[in-house]
Amino acid sequence: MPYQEAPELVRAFRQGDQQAFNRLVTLYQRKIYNLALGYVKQEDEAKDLAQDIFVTVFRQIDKLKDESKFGAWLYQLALNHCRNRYQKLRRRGFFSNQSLDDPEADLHLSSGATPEKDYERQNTALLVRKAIASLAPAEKEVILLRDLQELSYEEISEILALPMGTVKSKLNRARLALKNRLKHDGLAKT
Amino acid sequence: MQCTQTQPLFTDFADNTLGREELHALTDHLLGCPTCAQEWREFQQTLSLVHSLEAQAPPADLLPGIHLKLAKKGMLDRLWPLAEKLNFSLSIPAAAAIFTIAMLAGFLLKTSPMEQPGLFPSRPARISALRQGELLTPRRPPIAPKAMFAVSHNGGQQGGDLAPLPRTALATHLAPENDAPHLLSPDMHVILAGIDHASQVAFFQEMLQRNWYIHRINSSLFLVHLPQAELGDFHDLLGRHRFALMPAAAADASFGGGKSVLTAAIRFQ
Repeated sequence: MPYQEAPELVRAFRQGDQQAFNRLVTLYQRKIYNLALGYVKQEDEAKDLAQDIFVTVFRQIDKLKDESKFGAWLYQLALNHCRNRYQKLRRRGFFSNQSLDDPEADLHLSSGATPEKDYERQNTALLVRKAIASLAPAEKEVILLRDLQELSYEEISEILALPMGTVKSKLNRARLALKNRLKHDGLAKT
Repeated sequence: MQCTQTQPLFTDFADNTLGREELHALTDHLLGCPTCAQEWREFQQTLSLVHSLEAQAPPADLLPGIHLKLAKKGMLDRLWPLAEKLNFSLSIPAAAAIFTIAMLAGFLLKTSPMEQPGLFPSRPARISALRQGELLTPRRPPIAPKAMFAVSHNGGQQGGDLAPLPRTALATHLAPENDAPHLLSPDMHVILAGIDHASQVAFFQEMLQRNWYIHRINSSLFLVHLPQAELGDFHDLLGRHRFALMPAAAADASFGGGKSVLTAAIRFQ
């Protein structure tokens, strides 16, 4: 697991090794960028948000008490940034200006079997992302952490400072809410 | 088991973490209740849809952008703890008065023909301060009338505003080591011309990777503190762009050999 080297990198970074910080960013940038994207839904905004998160890591690394807890600390910090940015953008009407209702928004043709299949797959993905985005913040958060970031219940429990049972029940409620949204959109039906 | 009891168990059922009794009760119920069975299938399909979402690759310029933001914030970061340490409060008139006095004192010091060496830190103190990340106020050195510029260009594409001048080993205006006031001035002045944003980012990234201190003065002017021993690296970095370097002697890797740390003022045009 590449994340196992994180504590060692944190130690090196604290001792002034700039490359260790770069390596930490490289290690976590995919996850943090996608977490940010889950909140702000726009690539440039997500990039800016992810960069701000890592800048805060750089500046506040001394506040991390236990290097082995870097992952949880990073996620706590990232979630705080994401929540604040989300609120700020929402107040500015950023999300009402976004074309989430446009099914062709952010669709890119890739090397799928056929353009039609590609379109259908990406359209489905877009609708699922839209459904996740429309959930209540607490529901969206737990779905992002468990189902998209693939964190364990233990990790989520630590990040959100909630008992594991509470995490599971919140996740179940969030998934049921998502199921109802997707059913409403005609996606989750058999 | 009642219908209302089934849905709270779906996540545990999907994770296969139900106890034996609950598992039997739920499966028995789902086998006999088409409505709950349908709910369960939709729940499974929802999970399948969510898990099929692919993570997007982060943009390639994410890390350089972080370095750029850090470079921009570097100056404030170093000033803020100082302000916090002072921990005082002032009324607005008092603050305005202090500001005015400070500006006046600065003006008098700058224009005074007799500079006051004792007011400035000695060279070892300066290097020590630099190592601790303190920001020292830069003062532009007086440019001697006969000063020469070392000029380089990339691929012979010389801009009209950067006239090619021969390199010379003479530094006509170089301040002597014991000239304390001049110790606050940058040792070198660099003008980088025709550099695009991406190259600028890469340039800063290279400097940060070498652990050189970068202070942003404004969007086009930066101070860089680097070990004298790494001056050759600095030349290599500059050599990738069109640049003008002053004094000419700074083009030599042994320039400033008596100092541990050199300060370069870099201006982007």
